[in-house]
Amino acid sequence: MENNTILSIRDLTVHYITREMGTCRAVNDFSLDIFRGETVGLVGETGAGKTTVALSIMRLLQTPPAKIVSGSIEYNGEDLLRKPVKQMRSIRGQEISMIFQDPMTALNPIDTVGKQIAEVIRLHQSVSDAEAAVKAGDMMELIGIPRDRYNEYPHQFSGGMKQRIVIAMALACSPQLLLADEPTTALDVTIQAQVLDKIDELKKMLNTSVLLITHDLGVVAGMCDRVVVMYAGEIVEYGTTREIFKHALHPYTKGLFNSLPSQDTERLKPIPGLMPDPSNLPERCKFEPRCEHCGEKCSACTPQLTEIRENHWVRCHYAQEG
Amino acid sequence: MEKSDNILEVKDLQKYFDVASGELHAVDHLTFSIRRGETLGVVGESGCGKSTLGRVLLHLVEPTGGEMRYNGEDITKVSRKRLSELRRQMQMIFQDPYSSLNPRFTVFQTIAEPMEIAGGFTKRQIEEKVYAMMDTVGLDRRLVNSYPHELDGGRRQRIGIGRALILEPEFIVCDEPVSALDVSIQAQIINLLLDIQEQRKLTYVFITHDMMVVKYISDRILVMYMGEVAELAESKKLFEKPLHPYTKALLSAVPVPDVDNRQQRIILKGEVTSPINPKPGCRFAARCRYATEICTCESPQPAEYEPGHLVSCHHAQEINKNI
Amino acid sequence: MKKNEHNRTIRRRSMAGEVIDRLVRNKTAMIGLLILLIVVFSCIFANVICPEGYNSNDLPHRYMSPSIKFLFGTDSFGRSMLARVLYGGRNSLLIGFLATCLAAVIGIALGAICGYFGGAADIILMRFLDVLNAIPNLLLAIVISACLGTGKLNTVLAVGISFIPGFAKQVRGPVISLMGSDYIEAARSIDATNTRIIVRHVLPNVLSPLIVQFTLTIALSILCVSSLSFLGLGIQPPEPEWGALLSAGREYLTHYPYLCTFPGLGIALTVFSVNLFGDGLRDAIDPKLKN
Repeated sequence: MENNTILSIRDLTVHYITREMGTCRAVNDFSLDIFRGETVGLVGETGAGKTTVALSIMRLLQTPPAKIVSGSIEYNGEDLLRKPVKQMRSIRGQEISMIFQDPMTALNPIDTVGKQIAEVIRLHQSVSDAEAAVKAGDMMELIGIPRDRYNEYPHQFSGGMKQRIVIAMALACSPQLLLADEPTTALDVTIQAQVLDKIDELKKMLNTSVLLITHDLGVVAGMCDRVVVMYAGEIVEYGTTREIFKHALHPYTKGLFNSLPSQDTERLKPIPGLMPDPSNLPERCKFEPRCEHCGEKCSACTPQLTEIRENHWVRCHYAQEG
Repeated sequence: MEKSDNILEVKDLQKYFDVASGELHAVDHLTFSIRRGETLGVVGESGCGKSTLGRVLLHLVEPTGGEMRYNGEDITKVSRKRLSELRRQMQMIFQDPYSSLNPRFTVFQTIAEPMEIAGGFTKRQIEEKVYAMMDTVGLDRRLVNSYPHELDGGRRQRIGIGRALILEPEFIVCDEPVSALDVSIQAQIINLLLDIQEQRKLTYVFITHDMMVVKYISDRILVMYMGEVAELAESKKLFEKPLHPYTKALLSAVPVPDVDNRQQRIILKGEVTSPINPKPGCRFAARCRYATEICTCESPQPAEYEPGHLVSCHHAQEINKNI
Repeated sequence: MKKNEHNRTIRRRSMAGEVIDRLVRNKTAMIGLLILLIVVFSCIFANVICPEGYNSNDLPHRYMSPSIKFLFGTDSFGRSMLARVLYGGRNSLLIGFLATCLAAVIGIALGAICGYFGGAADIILMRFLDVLNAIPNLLLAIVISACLGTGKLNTVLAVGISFIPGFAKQVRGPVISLMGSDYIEAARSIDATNTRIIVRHVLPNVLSPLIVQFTLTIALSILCVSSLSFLGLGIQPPEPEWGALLSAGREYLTHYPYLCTFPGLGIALTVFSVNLFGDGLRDAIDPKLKN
């Protein structure tokens, strides 16, 4: 593992096992390296498995019904999946932080915001209460909220501000890696712009790597260095943002771009059908039932991730031919 | 009665709510018209009143003041009987496919219900129409006895669309119909709505916060801010030449999926002001970098900057003179 | 290109089917149901098990302890306690059940109207129901019973009325939160009348927790009926009723405990089994387990 790699996920496989649904193969053989200081976009639709990946990194999955079947997640040379719970606690918040989609429910309504930020600092750094409060104030200024609002409660802030407070809490201890799960989906467009800018600014300042989970390709274009496209629990394509946007190769990725009403197209070309039921995935290529370009190979053997262009990997038998 | 070109005319429409801290001006002095067969996009961020507007148009919420004319007829206040008749012609498609369907109704029951309420149809007729509608909206006939919880968001939304269309209305308010759906499903539903509009010559009011979708689907766009008209123009015009400072900021904030075309974002200062007991003057003034004294005293009225392009701004001319 | 449209259409059984499945798998609930059914059917077939009826005096055989001939012993008039308990059970169970039905029908209607319409009606009715609710059930039942007098119908009314506020409040909350659902608004947009919305859209979606409420209220109301009879209201001799039987046997507790044991056992078993079953039902319906 190079010195440049923060996190190394190898062959992660996660299943959800319930009586009603059987075994849902939520994540299948997922491998990804995240480098220092970069923003990786994890793109996919509902049910692709993106949140499951993030929760696995943080070891926040509910097991049962989830089960990490195999794989490893290496951070600083140690496998997070095999760490004792106590050690994970010291990593969460300090080394790896996560922010979730809904800022309304992420904050404790009965504590002041300043106190909540300070709490994160106190948990991980051996500083006095007074020092923690000062640092919390610093964090608030950093995210654009005046320090003198330290003693106000979450309900006194708007959605965008609450999300920024959540970001402050996540970054208070200067973590190496920030997992952001659809951090701006619930926010208005103008507020989204503010929040994303803040994340970008802070990330550069603290040299934090970011795994940005989103379904919004516009956000990805603006924020991410590399993009990983997930479908039915697997990576179907990944590469630098420029590569993916300019030269999308996997039929699913191309389908996503064609579904966007941003081009001046005559008619949208949506991908027909639906994502497969995770408890009943197709045998070989998972996208085959919806694919317009499939051929014999697709139902015969499972496609592997291959580097088709430089820094551009695709899981498709026919990728070269477009 | 000869039908004029405008299917709906709204004049000075108001909807105020009484809340604990005062009077919430959800919709304030809104004036616009909708032409037959067009799609009017209504955009704005949370709290701008677009959803309330949709509901007022259909009498799901009673207007506090102003006037609404449907096909020339004043429908601001209607009798219960007339409202029943109007409801066959004016329908709504709701945002959340998960809460807009009765979880205990099958697909059949949901789509058939408007016919049962209207009355005068035999069981046979209802069955035929429901099946035909399922075909129209792209629902497999085998799903006829399924429950919402068995189906995904896209299919549920098709059920909602079927319910809205079964009595063959001519005017549909679409309240964020694709916002809760995944990108690829969104595209399917958008195409469906456009196809149906063409086949049945429908008029849409398309309420959304998604600028890209509204650009794609609308003929004209109404930009709302805090219950008022900020700007109203043809779709293309609005995007090429936004006049109102809010519209400019809104458009610049939209994340564009293009690695090359990185535009400068106009970041608005401050937060959205409260629509409760609003002070006189332009409601956008507090966040506007062009605001002057007059903006805080006098409310700007929508004025025609160019034919077909309305904007409510005291400084519209100066801000845009070099474009 | 293959079409694989069914991928997300998970063909589950109906929701009722799932609930029943979960219920059947719950052993304690099934044990409760079994005990309840045994008790209920024994009482229903009282005339088969004890063809002599509950009032056949047999003075030479007074105060006999339980034996093969008189399974539950005999009372002060030589009447078979088995007969008294089984026929008494009919009264206790039936009146308890009817009272609960009364409370449910009126309570649900009131709660639904309050929740749906809100406004002045809601405020006034709820305050009134709050007052009723503040009085302990039994006390309220006693007061009403004292006004109306003894007898089966009066007891049904007394106990039933005392449980109305409970149902009303249970319904009102869910109805109010349901009012925010889009499908209620959608129903209005397709011109449904208020009645139709309440009956077809609101009530079916709030009934699940009410089923549990109903079951558990049956237990409480049987207890209530018995308590009333014990206190001299409700059902009085010669009509048998578990509470009345308890009261009659009280004096002789030290000498002839079986006079109280079996009626007491009847009450205890019924309440216990209904509670077991009701708890299982609640777990089976629990929305957390849905989706």
